[in-house]
Parts: sequence; structure tokens; C-alpha cells
Amino acid sequence: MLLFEFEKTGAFRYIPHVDMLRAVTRTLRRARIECGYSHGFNPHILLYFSPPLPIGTASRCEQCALDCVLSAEEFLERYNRAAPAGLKALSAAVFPYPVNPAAKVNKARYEIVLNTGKVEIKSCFAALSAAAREVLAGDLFEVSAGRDGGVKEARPLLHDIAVRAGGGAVAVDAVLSAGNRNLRADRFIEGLLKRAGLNYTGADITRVTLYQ
Amino acid sequence: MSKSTTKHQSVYPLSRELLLSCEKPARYVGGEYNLAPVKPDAALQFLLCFPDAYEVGLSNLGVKILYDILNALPDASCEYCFAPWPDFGRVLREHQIPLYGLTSGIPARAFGMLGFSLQYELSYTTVLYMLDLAGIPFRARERGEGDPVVIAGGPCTVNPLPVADFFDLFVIGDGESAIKELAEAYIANKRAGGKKADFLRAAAKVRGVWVPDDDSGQRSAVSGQLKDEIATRHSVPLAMTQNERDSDRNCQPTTDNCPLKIKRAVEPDLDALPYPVKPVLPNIEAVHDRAVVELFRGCTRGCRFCQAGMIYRPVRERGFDRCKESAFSLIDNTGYDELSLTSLSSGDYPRIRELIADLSGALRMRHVGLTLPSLRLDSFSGDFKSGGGGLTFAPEAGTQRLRDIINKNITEEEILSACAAAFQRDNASVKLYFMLGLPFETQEDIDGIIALCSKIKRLGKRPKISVSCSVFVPKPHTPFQWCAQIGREKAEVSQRYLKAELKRLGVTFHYHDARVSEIEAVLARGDRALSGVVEAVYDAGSVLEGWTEFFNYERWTAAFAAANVQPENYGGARNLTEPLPWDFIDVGVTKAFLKREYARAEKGLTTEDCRKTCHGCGLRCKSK
Repeated sequence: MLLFEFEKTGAFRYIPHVDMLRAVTRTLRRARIECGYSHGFNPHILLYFSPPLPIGTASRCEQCALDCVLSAEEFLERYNRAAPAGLKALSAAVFPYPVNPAAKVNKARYEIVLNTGKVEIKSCFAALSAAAREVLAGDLFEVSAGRDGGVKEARPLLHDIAVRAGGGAVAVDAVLSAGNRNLRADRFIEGLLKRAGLNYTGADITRVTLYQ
Repeated sequence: MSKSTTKHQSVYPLSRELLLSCEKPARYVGGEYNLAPVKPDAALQFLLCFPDAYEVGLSNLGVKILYDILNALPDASCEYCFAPWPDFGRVLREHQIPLYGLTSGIPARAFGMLGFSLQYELSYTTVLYMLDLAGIPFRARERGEGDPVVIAGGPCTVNPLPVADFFDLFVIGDGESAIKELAEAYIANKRAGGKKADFLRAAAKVRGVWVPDDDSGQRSAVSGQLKDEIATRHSVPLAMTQNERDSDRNCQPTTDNCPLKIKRAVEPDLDALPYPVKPVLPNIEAVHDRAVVELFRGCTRGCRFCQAGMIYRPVRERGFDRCKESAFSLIDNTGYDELSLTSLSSGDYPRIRELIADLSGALRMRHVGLTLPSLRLDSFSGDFKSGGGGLTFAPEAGTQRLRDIINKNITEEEILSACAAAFQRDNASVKLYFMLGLPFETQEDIDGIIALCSKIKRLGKRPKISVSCSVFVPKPHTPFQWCAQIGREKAEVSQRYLKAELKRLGVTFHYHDARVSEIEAVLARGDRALSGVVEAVYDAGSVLEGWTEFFNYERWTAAFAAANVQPENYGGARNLTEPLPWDFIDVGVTKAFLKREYARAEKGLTTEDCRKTCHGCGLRCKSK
């Protein structure tokens, strides 16, 4: 089985998961990569993806596994020739056994960049760092649960936070649960900003690593 | 609209926060696969505007064809632009972001030409919505040298009068050669330092182009000079009295002999034209999102209600090998898993079975499904499917008498036989299209729909039948262009009746809002008096009216009242001898032919497929 890692950046950060599936499927078909198909009345390519992202979150580590006889190098070359910008494959590996990223992945690292402006970097950094220390030391961390305005307790889903500043912005690196028990990065940063007493919107969120 | 962005400054990158505050932000960010690269230094920057949502517009074959042709010109660059959903439209207004081209983000008003595709009448308010968001004045006479030229094409242009005030010109008929000639005229004019009026003068000589006179009289000087040239070029006799010139100002001739007609553009040889085999792929799910090969244009069946069957004549087929090549190129370039062979009546393509046989094997190997969405009942023998899981047929009328009146030329035996064949091939569901309010319809014809469904139900083992009923809209350039539309109340009574009776039979019934059809009928046979109504309805807040949730009937009735326009005058019957506002458009089919067909309809006489016998519609295609 072949597992490849791909980006979801540029315009593609705004497409929903189901449309991303379609885009990857079409790329494989354009590349004339022979894949395993399901059986039955309406066969489709059998693809196994890493846990979905919310619209607006980019990624440099999305994963997809498929039945394919190509070598990793040949796959990358053919796939990327047919792939749109923003959905290119970054790496690939062949495994002698079935791989299912959705089942294996349980954590993810996110890079979250806040455009605070140069004037406010110092105060923002200080406030966020303090809030991060407080959250990691404590047992409680509430985040919004959805559009209906509810909240949920997310501390068990939060594994690490690191705050850094540079290049005219403050960045937060966070390791959050992913998969069956999932903490969305946009809700995490909203909760952390609230804890810090800050009010920035439009965070630039990128999933950078998946963990099993 | 705003001036906060300079005219040529891209609006990209758009704020993530703004995008994420709206539904389906992928509609607004570009980056689609197969997008043509922008040529920023090209003399013609063309914005192809589709007055509907992204996921509707990107599927339209006509705009795909024009996009390809324009981008192939060395000195032209073409981008797409679609109507923003209202939530994003509000965002654009609040943040003073102008409507923009999808590839580059350059504001629409920086483009040299905007081309709108008018596919249906209820899109007219959306045209104004897009002009408003772009910061471009609605009326052609209000636009200056610094504003883009705004043009329109598409099927609605066979009666462009309700929106004539909003466009600098219309392209009526096939757009392939016309758009190329217009682009070349624009570029030549720009290089020569000419003004807009100079371009319009040149444009008016292009076959299929109508440059409306504006209602201020300012443009009449342009078209006055041109009339001789146009007459010579298009072989139209010219003999105008002063009275006729004055009446021609609003293109409502005082006599039936309209002295100057705009001839529809017709491409004689589709194989001589490029076909879009690298279409832009939508980022999100779109309607009819599949590879499409147009088998032929035009139709010979002569259904009397059908405007497309009249205005796209004569039939022009794409060559067999060309269809195959296009099919495989499309699959290679897109990765689609479905290919559709389309036309007005795909079963009439001469070598359709051979084409399907040639394509099927290869497509199956590549896991690509093949569909033929426009199959007539009499083309279907159960050996190919029309699309989707079930099968769709369009008997249009419930009795043979009414089917003969509309010249559908399908018997009950053929309907039942096609459904039986479908059920035998495990297609356990059938969808049937009918129309309510066809000319000379009686209660017996409505009961005929129920009786037909009852017979079909007995053909299979618990088959799923669904019926979809629209309200007939009389259209210009058809034999029924003189007919009244059924009144809204009467249509609603029939809809309620059918709903109850079909429910008893276990048949699902879908129907269109009769109020929508009423407004469509007014606009379809409208004149220039309606431009103020269209604007008023837009000002009241109506956009994207093709979507049920946004259609607002009360805004239309209020606008009619305020403008002192009687909508029933447009929806009502016309006298066979009176001149019609759209008579100045020559689609090729003569009025005399349409009158003959109307007379035959009155007598319940059918007219044979004109592939077999010529009925003298005016096109003289067999003598060429």
C-alpha cells in the first residue's frame, strides 16, 4: 500500500473535505495512476485519508493511502504532474501492509500565526505565554463547541502549547488531539485568546505534523 | 460602490476572517485546476460574467467555449466572474471590496469588456447585482469612456428588449466567431486610440450583434450611419421612412415589415471550431459536474413550445471522430468519472449507437460512466441510460391530442414501451416531465397525466414514478409566441388537483411555483418598458431569483404597479397580425412558418421531423 503526504494550501485551504477527496481522486485519474477500486454497482477508488480539517485550516501534512503498484518516486512524479497548485504531494512511502491514516492518527501539531502588528507583539506574546502556562498547568480549558454557542471542556485534548514571536507576528504551536477525539485548532486558539483577554481574529492556521 | 481599492489593484489576498464568515468561501478564491494564466498586458481584458452562483455558472458549456476562444487570442485575457451569494455580497459592500475577476482578483471595472451570459429571464436582476457590486453604472447611456463595455449573449438575447438599456450590445446566436470578431474590433480600436462609440460602430457590423439605440437618442446617430452598412453586409433590404426610423429607435416597428433585422449568428461547421477539452474544474461540488461533449446543435423535431428547437436551427453535427477525440481529451485533462453526450435530442445523432459502442469499452476500463441526458422517448430502447440512477422522459402532455398539438410526436405506446424496457433493465425509477397550461389544454389532458401514470405503474414491480410539472411559458420565435399563458390561479388549481390525485396513485409530484412562471412569461415577451421594472425589483433587494429561497413575487407586483405596467398584457394572447417587439431579430425561422405551425396546432395536426421532409421554416438548409 502506498501512503503519500500532501499539502492543502492556497485556495484549497477553503475547500471542504469531501471536495478535497474529489480533487485528489481526479488528480489520480488525470495521472492515470492505477488504484484499487471498490466493488458493487458504483465502484470508486479506495482512498484512506487522515482526519478531516475544517474549512480555512491549511495543511502541510495531509495523508492519503491507496492500493497502488507504483514506487514512491514514480507516484510522486506522476501525481504532481497532474495535481493543482495547493494540493501537491510532498512525500510518499510504500508499505507491505494496509495503512489507514484515519485510524492511526490521534494527534496533530498546528502552527497558528496571529497578525498582531509590530506595536502589539510584545504585549500579545506576554499575555498568550501567560495564558498558555496557566492552561497547561491547570485542568480546565473551555472552547466553543459549535455554531449553537455551546462550550466543551477541552483540556484532555490539549497536549502542548508553545508561544513564539518574530517576523512581525506572534505564533502559537499547539499539539492537539485529532481523529476520533478531536480538538479543532480554530476553536483552540479562540479559547486561548479569550483566556489571555485578547481579541484577534483571522488567525492563519496550518496543520504541520500528524502523530500516531 | 467603493473607491477604496484602486481600479487595477487586485483584491487578493482576501481576509481569511471575511471568507470564513461566508458559506462556501471556495467560490471566491480562484485557484481552480485548468485556469488559463492571466495576460496582464493583453489589450483586451475580458470578464466573462455568469449571473448565477459559481457552482451553476462553471458548468455552463457556452461560457466554457468562450473562455477558451478568448484566452487563445494572443492579445486577450479572459477571466470568470460569478454572482456572489448574498452573504458574500454583503461582505463586499461592508468592506468596500469591488466585484473582481476570479483568477487575478482585479476589480471588474478595470476590465475592458464584461460579457454576461443570459440563460434565463430571472437572472436579469442578478446582472444588475453584479454591476452594482462592480461599481459600474447600470444603464449604457450612463457609462463613460472609463467604464467597461458591457455585452450579453445567451438564449435570452432572442428578445433582448427588457434589458436593452443595460447593455452596450448583444450577441444573438452562436458566439464563437462573433466573440472573436468583437475582440479583434476592440483591440484594433484600442490600438488606434478610438473611443467607445468607434468600437460600437465596428461591433454593429458583426453578424449577430445588435447595438441598441439608447432612449436618450444619443446613440441613434451611430446606428443611423450603420444601417446601410449592416443592410449590405447582411443582405437585408433597406427602405426606411422617417416614421420607421423613429419607431426603430425603440425597435418596435409600426409595421410587420421590419425593415432592418438583426440576423442571428450561425456557425455552419462545428468541427471547424475549437472545443473546450481543458475546462476549469470547480473547487466545490457544482451542478452537472462532468465531462460534456456537445454532439450537435439544433433540433429537427419541431416541438412547438420549444424555443431552443427554433432558435438553434439548423442542425449542425460534430463529426464522429471529433466527438470521440474530445471525449478522451476531456477525460485525460479533467479526471472526471462521468462523460455526458449532450444536445437537444441526443438519440437523433446519426451514429449514436456506434459512438456509444466505441466509447463504452474504453470508458469502462477507465471507470468512467457514460450518460445521455437528452434522450427522447422514441430514441430509448433500453440499451443506454439517460443519466443518474433512474430514467427521465418528457411526454410533456397527458393525452395524444395535446401531444399532437404541441407536435411532440410521441405515442402512448412509445411511452409505455420505453418505461417497460427501463423497468426490465432494473431501472426501477422513472421521472416524467409534463407542462401545465399548454395551448388548447382541457381538463381531459390533465386527467390524461394521471391515467398515463396509472398505466406506467402497472408495467413494473412497484416502480418508483415521479412527475415533474412546469407551467408553460410562451416564448418568442416559437409557434406559440401568440398564445396566452395560463393564469396563475388556474395553474395552482391544476397543481393542487394533480398533487392529490397522483398522491393517491403513489406517484411523487414536483411542481414549479406558478408565480415564477408568470414573471418569466412577462420578461420573455417583454419590451423596453420593463427595464425600469427590473431595476426597481433589484433595488427592492431581489438577486439570484432562480433560487427558490430568493424569489420574491411581491417585489415584482409592486414594481409593475409603480411603473404602471400591466403584466397581463405580456402574458396574454397576441393577435396574429400585430407586430411583435422581437420581430427585428431574425433567428432564421420565418414568422410565416411559425404562423403555419400555429394553425396546424389549432387543428391538432403534427409536422414530421424535418430531417425527413422540409417544411420551409426559412433556413433552406437542405438547399445549401
